[in-house]
Amino acid sequence: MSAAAIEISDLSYQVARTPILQAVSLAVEEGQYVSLLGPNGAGKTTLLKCLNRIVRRTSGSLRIFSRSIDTYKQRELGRTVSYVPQSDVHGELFSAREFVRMSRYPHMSAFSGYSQRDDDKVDEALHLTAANSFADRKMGTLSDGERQKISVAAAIAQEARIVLVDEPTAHLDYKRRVEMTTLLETLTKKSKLTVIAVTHEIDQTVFSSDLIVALKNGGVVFQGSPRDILEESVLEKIYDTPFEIIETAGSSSPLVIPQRNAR
Amino acid sequence: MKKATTLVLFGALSLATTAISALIGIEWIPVASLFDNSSADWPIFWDHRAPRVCTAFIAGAALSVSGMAFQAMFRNALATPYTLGVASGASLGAAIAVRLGLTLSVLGIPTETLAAFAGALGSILLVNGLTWGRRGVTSEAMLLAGIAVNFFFISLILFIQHTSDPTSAARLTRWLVGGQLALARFKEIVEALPFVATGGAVLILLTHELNLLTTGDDIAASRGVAVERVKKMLFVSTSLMVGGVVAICGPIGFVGLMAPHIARLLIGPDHRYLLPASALFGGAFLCICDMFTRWAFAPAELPVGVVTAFLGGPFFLALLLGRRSGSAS
Repeated sequence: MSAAAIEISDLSYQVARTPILQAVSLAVEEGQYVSLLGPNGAGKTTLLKCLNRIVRRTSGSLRIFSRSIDTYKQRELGRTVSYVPQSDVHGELFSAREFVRMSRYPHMSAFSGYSQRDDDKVDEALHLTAANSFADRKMGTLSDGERQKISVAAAIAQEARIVLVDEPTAHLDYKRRVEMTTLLETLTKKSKLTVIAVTHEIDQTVFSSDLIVALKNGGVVFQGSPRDILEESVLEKIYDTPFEIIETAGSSSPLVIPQRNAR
Repeated sequence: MKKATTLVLFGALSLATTAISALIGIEWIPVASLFDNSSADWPIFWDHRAPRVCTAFIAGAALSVSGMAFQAMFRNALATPYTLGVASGASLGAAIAVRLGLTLSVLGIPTETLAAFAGALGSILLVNGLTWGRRGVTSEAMLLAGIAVNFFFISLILFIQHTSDPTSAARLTRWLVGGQLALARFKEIVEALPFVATGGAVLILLTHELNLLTTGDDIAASRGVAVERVKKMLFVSTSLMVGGVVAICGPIGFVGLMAPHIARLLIGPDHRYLLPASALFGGAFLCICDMFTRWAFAPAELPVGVVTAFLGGPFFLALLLGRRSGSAS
């Protein structure tokens, strides 16, 4: 049994009395890959942001490695949790390499510059994400897919044990999508990283996750294993639309196809 | 290494330009007379020209670095002490202090300067407060808030000016367009320097944070930057710099817009290099503008704010019109 990486209990968040997250409870063990599903506006991104305190929860408890998130200094949190946002990356004038190197910030002291170790970690992250070929181009000149890779590379270089990823494959084509999900899975297995990934694709990655969590209207409506989510009408309840599930021979993951004009 | 070399060359060029600009004016001063205290040029240079050029350099550097910090913090190419209403807030503070006859000093610091600092801090908090925490607030909305605050403060300054006696009113007018720079002596430098140096020192310690802020508040926070605390430190340090400068030479506009931009074009967006480059370029730039005011219509002198605005207005428009979506920082 691994140690608990994230323990959320009864967490709520509201903006001007509008509840965004309601009584969310969730436990994630170290080294788990968690897929976070749910319809648009369910609160998935907000939950991710609570986990690195970009958003401060209104109530409930949130513990990271058995310590309340409130006790973390910001730099310490930066060494513990990294974040790959959906998009909207500014800093167009920086080169991709400079952008990745900035994520070494939580490992630096107030007066130090970048060390050799920082540069090594940056090179390693750029290598792992196959981003070397465009590492010296400016962020503003990269395609969405390239920027996505740089964003993941930055999170890797940050060396945090928990990685929050918001739609990691959103801008990628099929080949790069497979590369990206394979990379995230490898990181979970080999480096014992805990990954929480928001996704809209119910694909192989979801079916090989250790845990699937679904949010709807700010609350957890499903929490379980990949097998559990295939049970009768679970997906329909999450997304309010019927699905056809096709078991495929020779593959661990079934095909999940939303149905048109059913009922 | 390449950037360090560029920076050294850049610094040498800026300082040389500044030094040469000191020799040019209504009186052209031959270098030899700087070392001959029997020469008639000796007091002109050492009592007037040298402190004036030093003040111009300090003011230009401080305004430029403040503009750089605002541009990083708000991710907006047009954010400057002037456009955000910070300079006019400082002016209002100083004008109130003068109008009320608060000419005392607290611990050797003139009340005018303290009031200018308070005014600068007040307006940056006001502009930030008007737009902070609202979803979907664009940088345009923040600039508009800055411009509104700017106009409001200017109306209050004009009110103060209108109710002053003619001599003070004339002095206030001159001061508002940077005309006071021409009268700067070493006393003014001593008054401004602690403010500018303290603010500048804080910014030097925050160059990594400034870099991360340009990539977005959320990213910066997720990398370990205590965003709220860093922003507060930036507000105070830029207010110290702007307040210190405005109290002695008025709200000189557009230096904080042009200088950091040109420095960014030359040396890139990394604040570890951009900060010294902005300071050097801003300092040299204001010295050249000031030299121009002495030389262009000699023996008459233009206030320096007229020259910077004359150059800065078209520059501002070019930035506004040439800006592609999202390329704010």
